Amino acid sequence: MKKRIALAGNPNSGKTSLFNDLTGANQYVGNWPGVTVDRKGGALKEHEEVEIQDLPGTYSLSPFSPEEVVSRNYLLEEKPDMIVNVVDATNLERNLYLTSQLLETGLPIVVALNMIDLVEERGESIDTEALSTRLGCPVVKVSAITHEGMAELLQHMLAEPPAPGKPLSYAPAVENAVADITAKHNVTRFEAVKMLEGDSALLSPLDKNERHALEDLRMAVEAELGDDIASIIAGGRYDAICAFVPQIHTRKSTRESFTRRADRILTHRIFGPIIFVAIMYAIYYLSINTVGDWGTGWANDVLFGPVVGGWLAGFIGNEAAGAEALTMFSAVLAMVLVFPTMLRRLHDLGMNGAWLYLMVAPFLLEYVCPHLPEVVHTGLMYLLLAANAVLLALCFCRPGKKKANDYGSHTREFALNPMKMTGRGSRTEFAVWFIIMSLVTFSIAMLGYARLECSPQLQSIITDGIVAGVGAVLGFLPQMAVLFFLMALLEDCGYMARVAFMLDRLFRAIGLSGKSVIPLMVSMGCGVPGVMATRTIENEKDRRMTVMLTTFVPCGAKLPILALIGAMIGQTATIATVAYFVGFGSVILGGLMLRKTHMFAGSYTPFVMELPAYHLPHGANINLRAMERCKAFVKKAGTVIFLASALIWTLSNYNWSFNYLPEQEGLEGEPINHSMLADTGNTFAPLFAPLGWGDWRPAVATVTGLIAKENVVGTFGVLYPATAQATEEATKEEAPAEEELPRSCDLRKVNALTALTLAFWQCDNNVRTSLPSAGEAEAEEAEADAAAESTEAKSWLDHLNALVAFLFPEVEEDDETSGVAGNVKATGAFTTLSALSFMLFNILCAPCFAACGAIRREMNSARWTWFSIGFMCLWAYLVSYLTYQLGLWITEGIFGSAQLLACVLSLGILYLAVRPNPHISKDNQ
Amino acid sequence: MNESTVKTLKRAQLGERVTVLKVAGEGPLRQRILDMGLTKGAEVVINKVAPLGDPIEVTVRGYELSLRKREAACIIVQ
Repeated sequence: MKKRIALAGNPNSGKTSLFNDLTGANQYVGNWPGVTVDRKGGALKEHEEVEIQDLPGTYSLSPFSPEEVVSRNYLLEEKPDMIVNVVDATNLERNLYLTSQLLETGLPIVVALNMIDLVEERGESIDTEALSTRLGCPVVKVSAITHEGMAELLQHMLAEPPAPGKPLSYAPAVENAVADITAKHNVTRFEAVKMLEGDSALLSPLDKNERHALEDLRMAVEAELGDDIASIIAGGRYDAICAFVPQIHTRKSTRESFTRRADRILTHRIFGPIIFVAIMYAIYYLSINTVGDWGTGWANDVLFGPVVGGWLAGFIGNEAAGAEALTMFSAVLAMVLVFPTMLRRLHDLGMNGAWLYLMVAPFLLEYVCPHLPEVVHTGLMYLLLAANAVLLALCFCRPGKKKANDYGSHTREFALNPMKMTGRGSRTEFAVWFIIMSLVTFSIAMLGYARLECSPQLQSIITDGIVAGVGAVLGFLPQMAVLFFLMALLEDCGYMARVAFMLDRLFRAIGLSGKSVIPLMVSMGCGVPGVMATRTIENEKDRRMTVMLTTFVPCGAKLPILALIGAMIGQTATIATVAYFVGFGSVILGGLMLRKTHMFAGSYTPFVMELPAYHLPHGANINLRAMERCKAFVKKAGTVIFLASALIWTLSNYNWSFNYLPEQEGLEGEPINHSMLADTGNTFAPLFAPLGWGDWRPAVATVTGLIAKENVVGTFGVLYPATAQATEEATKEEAPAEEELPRSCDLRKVNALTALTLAFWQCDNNVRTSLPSAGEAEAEEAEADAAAESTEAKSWLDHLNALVAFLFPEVEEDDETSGVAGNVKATGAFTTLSALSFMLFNILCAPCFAACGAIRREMNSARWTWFSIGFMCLWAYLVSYLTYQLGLWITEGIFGSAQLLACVLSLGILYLAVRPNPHISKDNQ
Repeated sequence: MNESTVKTLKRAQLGERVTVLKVAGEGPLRQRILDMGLTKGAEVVINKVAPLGDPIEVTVRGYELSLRKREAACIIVQ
């Protein structure tokens, strides 16, 4: 049987870092209490027979939050063979409190004094010998960061479990009572203490007399010590700990800790909130406006436009692809394919952070450099080139350490799977995969010369359906990577807990707690981790409410919708502001309303939270986390959106008898109007008519948006083909293959627009005045592209840029039409009001399936899941309805029954939100 | 001592160093406060008040803990 070892300890004591180090797993580590939300298992590196469980952090075994229940149940019911109690050496007293409880369970324990490096840095020392004698169990000094002491810990983990430790003793009266119970009921010391405390789970199997006896015993102890039992037990443990800690821990009364000094400014009454706003602004500026925007721009303008599109045109079409397109394609493909192997090799060399460089460097080269002055541009180019050469040389030549870490030789295994990203890779492995991947890349690129001349149907599904859909989503990866990276940085250093501290008062006013800040902020990036982050909220009602409200916040995937609608209306800045305002407004109103319903009433949330010490972010942790999230994003794009794109394409190109519509003769109007999609949409459409968009296309887009919100824009791209251009093309085109490029370029523009919108909204007033409409925005975009080309010069990249220039003429022709936004606008399907109502509905209604899954997981009840999804949809419908109908009244002066109903409804919502809480002050009702 | 003269953590001044006498209240919340080290005899320093006046930050047993004034009102100090 496998040996099971549990890692237990306080939140934020470094269990997960230790776990990662021991198992080599990529786990999520953060510096706000309660990051591990489920227990995770993993096999010890090189010792597959030992299974390690990483338990969520607990302060004690009397559980308070659901994650503590997970830990407690595992320890008490599944009884692991050994517990490694991770103790934060910088905070001995509180950490040893849990140790004292663990000792009582009688399970074998090894204490790992983590973060010992921080203690020693301060010139302090801890006498582990004395501590070990006192606790009666082995004590090991370790540091998950510097790998100090890991070898010793590993030895203990592999050896026979030590004898159970010596529990700390309480006051004599308690000890007598415990001894009494242990003898009488044949239970462990831990259970005896719990029974004395009156733990209902342990008392229920006893009969009435026994319970009375225990009750009497408790009363006697309480009377003798003049306090109540909970206080006696907790106080007794702390007293016992305090009695010996000063002897083993030589403290130095140095100056104030760094955390205290930093907090003086970071949570200052006035500067604190200002700094918070500045940090949030900086994050969104960096991730969306600058670095991320360049990356996204590159992905959309170059990668999925000319490069992938150009290659496809050659391979599956009948159009020769240019040599430049193939070179570029192979370069990109090589980078993608070699990336996992490179990563493994970099792990081996101890250069874990290099992945971000690998991802950012190409964007820097392609997108940023051309905007810089000539000299800087050339200089940077050579610098990056040199860096790449050095990196490659290192990967090929440097042997790497024999021992990866200090806790034993850990052989590198040759990965049979070239997509494996974890672990370490040797030189040989790197060389082998590098050569194989280069060959693969080269041959794939060469396929571009082949002309398969596939049927137009196949060409269409690949280019219009899949590449367009997945490309539109993957274009956001650079933005996401930067956002995830910065968020991880904040989480790891401990700032998030301070944010909760500062904003608690504000959130309590709307019925949430300060801890809801974290989910809401995370949700601005993505709702799935946002929903998961609610696990740290102890109060069940608060947690459920936060889960229900958190996805109202416009997440990263909803940005394209804002951009699209913004471009359609021509008021991008206003639209983005409105969207965020309504999103957060819904959280507030929803909070106010829900708090007063009987389901959530009367709950008072305690807010007892540790503010962990700041520490320098640990590169590997941040890396792993950001990479995990990026991987999840790519996975979603690669699977769900891939299938969704193909499905939507099929539905929109075939009718019910599976005839390919574009080739059908004698159809009235657009072929798509006869598709299965149109029919399905038409059945749903009347439902949305009161919201102002009763057409089947927006209805379908909303449904596909459930798969992933990014799909709304993608679906619009497919459903509203360029009509103005259609006539133009009809004259010049013979083969449908030529359609591909313009189509993908349309999507390219939508995303360029996204970037522009945000640039816009993020306060650049000059830009705002110079770019009042979508059409002009594109003109500017085209100009920027042209500028980018003209400044390219004299380097090995020349031919690549020439390729861009070579392909751009086609793109520029295409600039006369105005992207999806223009296409939609041209059909006249939307007025300003209905577009607004459409956007609001899509932002507020049920989140994507992934987020619904997360909600299901967190609610842990089908009823609650459906209730929250229903609530969101209903709320979205209401908000859109009110916006549209009241908007009609205000702008058009129409006042009918719909407007009257809207008035009544809004008054009703207002009443529900501001009425006095019937469940607290009954005299008000 | 009647109710109004009992000193609680809520009433303690900023920067003041106090000793916990008793934790009032009941149930899991009280257990949590005790578990976090606010037991009889523990020394507490009031560090800071959040920008909006609530919650407060205290140092207890060598670490920083934040709790709301409402919870602080349950902790009787000296």
